[in-house]
Amino acid sequence: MKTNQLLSKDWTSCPNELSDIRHNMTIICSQLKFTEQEVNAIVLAIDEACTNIIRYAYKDCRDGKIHIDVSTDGHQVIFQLHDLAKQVSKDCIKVKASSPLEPGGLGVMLMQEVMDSVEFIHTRKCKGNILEMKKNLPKERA
Amino acid sequence: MSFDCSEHLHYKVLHLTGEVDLSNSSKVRQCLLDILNKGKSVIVDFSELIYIDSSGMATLVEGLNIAKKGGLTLTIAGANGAPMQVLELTRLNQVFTIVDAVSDIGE
Repeated sequence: MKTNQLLSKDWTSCPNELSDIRHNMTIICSQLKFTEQEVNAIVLAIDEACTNIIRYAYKDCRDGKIHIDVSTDGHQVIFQLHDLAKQVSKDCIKVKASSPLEPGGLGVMLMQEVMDSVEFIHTRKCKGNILEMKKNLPKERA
Repeated sequence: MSFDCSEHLHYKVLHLTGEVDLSNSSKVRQCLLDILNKGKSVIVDFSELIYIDSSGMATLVEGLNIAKKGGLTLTIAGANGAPMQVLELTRLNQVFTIVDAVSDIGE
């Protein structure tokens, strides 16, 4: 299926970059005709994924690279977040806490709640991790 | 993001403004813990808050647990827009006491 690239951009793993990432994601999602609530939720999920990359993949090291590709295939918007950190376990995107009062896992819970799919794509070709999150595009609204 | 404190009755009010994320949630945490360690119940005012992520919410959960252990309260006031959505998505709206405005809280 033909994909349409909407964004391909690098940021560093400095937490101060999160605001700019959210700004870029807000613009893209708004153009895709998601509602304001949907845009808020998607932007939150991307922010949580980037936060996890910073905290757990790069272990708070601020000069790592986060590359984000956003594309659509006509049915879904696809967010691919690439980092160059050591490969992480696929289990780290499973919801662990059974209660929001338990420490840890809130970000993963949000990502899973908002997106239609969240998965790691591990390839031998490239270093690091690729987290792919997909969200169904809004159906035509009258 | 900025924050400041005021008093309402016997509560300390922590007003959050702007965006709380990984870059600044540790500052909010320190302020919140300082208030609770002084034995004050706290109202966290969300009315000027436009964004909060899970690191900010985790800070509030930690504060709530500390407050409960100390016989204190932690209430959220004025949540709307994206921060209210985060409370709902995490189901923390069922955990925190949430009021429309600081002035809604009486003795």
